[in-house]
Amino acid sequence: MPVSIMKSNRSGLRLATIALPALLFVVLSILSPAFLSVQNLSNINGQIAALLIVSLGQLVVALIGGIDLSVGAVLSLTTTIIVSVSPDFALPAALLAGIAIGLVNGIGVTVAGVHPLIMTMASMTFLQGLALLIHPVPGGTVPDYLAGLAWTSAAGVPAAFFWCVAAVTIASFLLSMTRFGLRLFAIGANQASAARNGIAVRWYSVSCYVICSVAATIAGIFISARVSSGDATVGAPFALDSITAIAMGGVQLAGGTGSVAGVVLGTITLGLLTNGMNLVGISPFLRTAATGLLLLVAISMQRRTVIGV
Amino acid sequence: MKKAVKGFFGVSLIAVVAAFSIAPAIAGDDVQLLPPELLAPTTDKKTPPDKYKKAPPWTIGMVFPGVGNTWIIQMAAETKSEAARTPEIKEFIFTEANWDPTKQVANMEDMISRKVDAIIIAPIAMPLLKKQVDAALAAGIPVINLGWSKGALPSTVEVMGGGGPFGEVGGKWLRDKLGGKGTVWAFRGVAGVQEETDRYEGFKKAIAGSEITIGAEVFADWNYAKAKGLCENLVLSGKPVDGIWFSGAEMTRGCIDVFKEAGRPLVPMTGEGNNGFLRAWKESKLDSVAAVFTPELGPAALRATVAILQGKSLYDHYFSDPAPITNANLDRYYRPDLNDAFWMPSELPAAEIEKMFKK
Repeated sequence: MPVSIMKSNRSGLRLATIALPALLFVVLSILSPAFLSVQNLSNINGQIAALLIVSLGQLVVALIGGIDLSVGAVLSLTTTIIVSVSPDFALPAALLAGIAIGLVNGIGVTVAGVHPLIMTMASMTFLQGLALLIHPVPGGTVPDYLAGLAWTSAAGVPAAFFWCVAAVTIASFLLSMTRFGLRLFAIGANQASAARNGIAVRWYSVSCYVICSVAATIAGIFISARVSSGDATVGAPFALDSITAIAMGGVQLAGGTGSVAGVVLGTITLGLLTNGMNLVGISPFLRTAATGLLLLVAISMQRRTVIGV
Repeated sequence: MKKAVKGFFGVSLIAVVAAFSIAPAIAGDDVQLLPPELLAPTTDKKTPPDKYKKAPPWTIGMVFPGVGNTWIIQMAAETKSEAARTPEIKEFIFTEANWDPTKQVANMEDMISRKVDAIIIAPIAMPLLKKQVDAALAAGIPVINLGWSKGALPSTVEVMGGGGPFGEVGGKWLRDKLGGKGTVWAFRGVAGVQEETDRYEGFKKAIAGSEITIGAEVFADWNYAKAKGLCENLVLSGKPVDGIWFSGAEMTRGCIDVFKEAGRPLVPMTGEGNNGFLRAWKESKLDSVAAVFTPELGPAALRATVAILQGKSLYDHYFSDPAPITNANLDRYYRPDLNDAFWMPSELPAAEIEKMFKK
């Protein structure tokens, strides 16, 4: 895609968004012989799948100018529900909880007028405590059918790949092929203008928070299966990591700009950083510093675009 | 200072003498990971010899949960120092996951991809790494667990301390000190962490059947500042207290300061073998006991790894439950020449201790 086109569209994609993971890929291929092995590429896939799913949910909320800090706690709560209720009801119970949390967040932000940062931080704190009450110590047994969903492979392709493909396909369809998706961009660009044009902003906003929570729930189901246990704190880093991933992918947190492709690239960048530093043997402390630095560089190279004014 | 150094060597000499006096209990061909009073096997089961024997030089990976307290920093330094002194080790890779369970799983997978010769793990929670440990063993990579999985992991060897016995030390002492009745507060660490729960269970086990009740229970994250705030709240609330059990000594220091600032007489409080706590203990004339959780467990795990790669046979499980530091022997352990971050006992060379911890 020519750079000139990328500069003018609402995807937020910039040269840096694409160049950064590509550069990391090339450098790591040269520095570490193990990097391109099938096992390692499969590992990276498994490592980023949950973050990708959460980040796609975060993208939906970010497009309308919102933010959801509760995704990590939703993920943690999901893993505790999965190992605490009867296997027959584990999935429905987790999904119902995800929908309910999304509704509360959405109604709190749109109807009660609470700032999304405060609303989702409050629910994050509540849900973290609830998860610890349900399952204070990591462990438990994940239903066999779920464990299989994360660890099986088809024609040598690991299950995590299919989780990623499904999440990307659904998100792409939702945002690019439906009126719902197009209206999210309109709301994020100018909420008042969107409302004047007949878009039911509240309904769409509540829906976005529900989608985001459900995405975090699905990621929680994947994580439960991947680590074969429930852990009330396992999701803690996902709130900030998902925001980092979408920001690296060119999504503007003020709303109206962003793309599924950008989120995929941002997530891959974070995954490559972690994997690459382990393979090359660089200090783990440097990874955190490098992530912060790369985020700053990526954001600096993405000047705020104003849409819909 | 000289007196303190002399005192330290005195302790070392006692430790060496004690080690030799206990040594006959252990068969002559056994690999000694640490002096017996610090670490002892808890099972007769042994790993088969030569199962993971590999020709040096070796690359060894360590998959650690995260840093963030002085014990971990010292343990990591002691392990790296031991690795540097072992000529067969070509590379020692230390990874940490910033206490993120999913990242620790990723780090473990990356070590397997890198085809290291052996992996030392310290799981944030035991079940989390089960599949990765299985994968490593299937790939012929031995896994030494710096933790106690209680059968949850098929680790090659397990080396650990702390946990239930740590909590019991303080619990038993409080029970004796209070004559089996009274009200105590419990200051716990980070909620959801297995080590924390194990310590608390050990404490509860120690006071079970007595007339001691837990009047207040708070999670202070093993953190001085948070414990100080929570202790202030409890002291101001006027809740009765006859003694306080702590899951970690940073929190004890916070509470000592609160009692002093509030002008309240100190009640018996438990601690652990950290120089900062020993200083506060000595200066405040506190009535206390300190469980010992030595950072030498890191080098012990590394020695176990080296022995396994050399084809030697080890016991499946070792546990560190040394005698606690008491009011009577406090002076033998406290190092006034070093800062608060030092943990004992340590086997770092004296020059490194001076460099890292000199006041």
